[in-house]
Amino acid sequence: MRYKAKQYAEAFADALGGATPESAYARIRAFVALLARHRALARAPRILPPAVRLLAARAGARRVSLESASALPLTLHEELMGIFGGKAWLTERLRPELLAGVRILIDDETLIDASGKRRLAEIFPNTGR
Amino acid sequence: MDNVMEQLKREIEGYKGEIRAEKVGHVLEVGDGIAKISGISGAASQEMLEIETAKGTVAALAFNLEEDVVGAVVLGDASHIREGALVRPTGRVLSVRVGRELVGRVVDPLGNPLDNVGPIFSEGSEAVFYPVERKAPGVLARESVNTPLHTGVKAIDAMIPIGRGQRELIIGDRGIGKTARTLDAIINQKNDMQRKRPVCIYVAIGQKESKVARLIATLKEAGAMEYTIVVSAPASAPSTLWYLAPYAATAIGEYFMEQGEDALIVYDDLSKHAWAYRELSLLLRRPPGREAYPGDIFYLHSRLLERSAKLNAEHGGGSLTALPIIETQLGDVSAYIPTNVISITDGQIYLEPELFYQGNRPAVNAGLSVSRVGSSAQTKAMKKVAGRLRLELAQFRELAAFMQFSSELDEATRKRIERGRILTEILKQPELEPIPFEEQVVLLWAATNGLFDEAGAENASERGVAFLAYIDKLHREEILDTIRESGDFTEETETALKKAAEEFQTLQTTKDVRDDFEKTGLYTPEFLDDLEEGLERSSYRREIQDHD
Repeated sequence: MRYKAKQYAEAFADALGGATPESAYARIRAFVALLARHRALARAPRILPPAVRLLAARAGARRVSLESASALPLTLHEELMGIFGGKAWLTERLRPELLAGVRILIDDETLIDASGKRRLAEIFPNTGR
Repeated sequence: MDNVMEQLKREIEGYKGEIRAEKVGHVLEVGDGIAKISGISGAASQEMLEIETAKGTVAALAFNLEEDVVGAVVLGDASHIREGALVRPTGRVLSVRVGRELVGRVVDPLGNPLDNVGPIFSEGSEAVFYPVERKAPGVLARESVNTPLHTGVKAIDAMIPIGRGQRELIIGDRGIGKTARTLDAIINQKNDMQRKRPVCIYVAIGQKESKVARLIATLKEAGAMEYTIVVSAPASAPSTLWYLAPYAATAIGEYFMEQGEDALIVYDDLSKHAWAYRELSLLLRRPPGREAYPGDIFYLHSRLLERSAKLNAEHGGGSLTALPIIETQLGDVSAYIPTNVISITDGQIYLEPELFYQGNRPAVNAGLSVSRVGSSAQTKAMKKVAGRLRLELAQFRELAAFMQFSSELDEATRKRIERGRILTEILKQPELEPIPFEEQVVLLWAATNGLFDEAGAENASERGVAFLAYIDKLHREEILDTIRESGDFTEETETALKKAAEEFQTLQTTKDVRDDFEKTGLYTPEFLDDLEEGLERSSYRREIQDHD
């Protein structure tokens, strides 16, 4: 039977939900083996994001992705964690093409774009974003 | 340089950097012009999206709203879109900029110019956008079709008349003159001086670029590009643009209709449009139905063609006439898409391959062709002559079938068959040579009243040309102009035409013509030369010289 990506995601989130840090690694391995058996590895990009979303929601945390042109100071991380009441899963990515500033993506859906690239694009709209 | 720096400074100083949160999505996968996007859960159907790529933003159209993802069709170059690329909803449904400036231009379905003549709209002009998908006018905004739209094709204007606001399907196999007859209709609009000239829109869907170029050249040569817009989604364009082309062109047509003007739109052709939609639907994994078309294939065309209408005076009185084309395979009109469109439109003109190869051009099958609403828009003049024509042709068809089994025929039957042959000859017409409606009336009157009986079917066409030339030179004002201006064929006009026909029959030779002119002394030498030229257009002159 072919399962939907959403069903895999829910099962994976359920499996990881009650796992200790020690058992989590084994469960992830088992899940990957299951996907391979079901020949569904190619669908992983459609399974993992909703699984992470579910896990974060169950933990009451926000997923916050930080993108900046250069490395951000640790104090900023702490400041952000404070804004979200300590319940934020932070990831950071360096993207020199942003030129300056920072781009914050919350829960994959809400974007706060304070990058130099965006500002330039707004000043010179015809030059392409 | 200093000026540039100053300008930059001014722009930067004036910039108010406002940081705001926006809803975005991400590309999950992309291929064959289709992108699957996660996020943007609030996106609307047909909403425009912007996908960020390394080479700038690419537009896409939200097409399939699923539980977790949005299926979008990419409207630009999809090759730079990467997995994970950021997608921004714009909050706008797909629209096309409309305006009078479009007339005479060649554009793509997104309204971008394709004719290398520069931008369409001048800077500072009012920007009016019409959504590509729009609700058709309701019942209360419409009125019955009541104004004719002359195509310049005798067989069509006489037997299958089209009214402004009507949807008349042109259906037939490939290469038998479907496009050419619609071009006749476009070119003929400049002949119809008694009514407001409609803005014509030709939509090329999946046509070869060379064919579109040839067609534009033909329209230019005929002076028809002055009032025509070409919307082209050529064979090389992605199927997304094939799919969008008729809707975008209809939005342009609606603009003119809502200004109280008339517009004529030719969809060439809706078979390819259905193919494009089938391709998109299959790529979006919508369930296939009959012939692999999706379940809403009927709605695809019904919602498009319903947008053609004749608005009532309260709504400006404009109209949008549609001439959709459907290409059949081996003359099969009962296939899925042809039957769908036949049931949507207000009639169909069926072009038959057999007639075409027999030399009957236009190859209109009068039996299978019908106009359900056009007769109420037909001019009185045409109605008077066409009624008899239809009857005589119907009798001829019946007798012609009977004739195959019987070699001995009585005189009356033989005459009817001969008259039918003459009428068939008279209805023949070369492509791209539309005839003004008043000339059609005169010609059909002459044919149904036996003026060409003596000449026989072999010479009827040439005699017809000579007769028209004769009437044009000598009786334009009292006959042709009267019919054109009044739209009627009164007893007085008929009497004048009868008299002229009698005169024409007595003037058997060019010498007779000259003698008559010299006797009356009414005509200048230039006029005689003109007449000679008119007579030279037919071999009638050769025939009468032989007679001499």
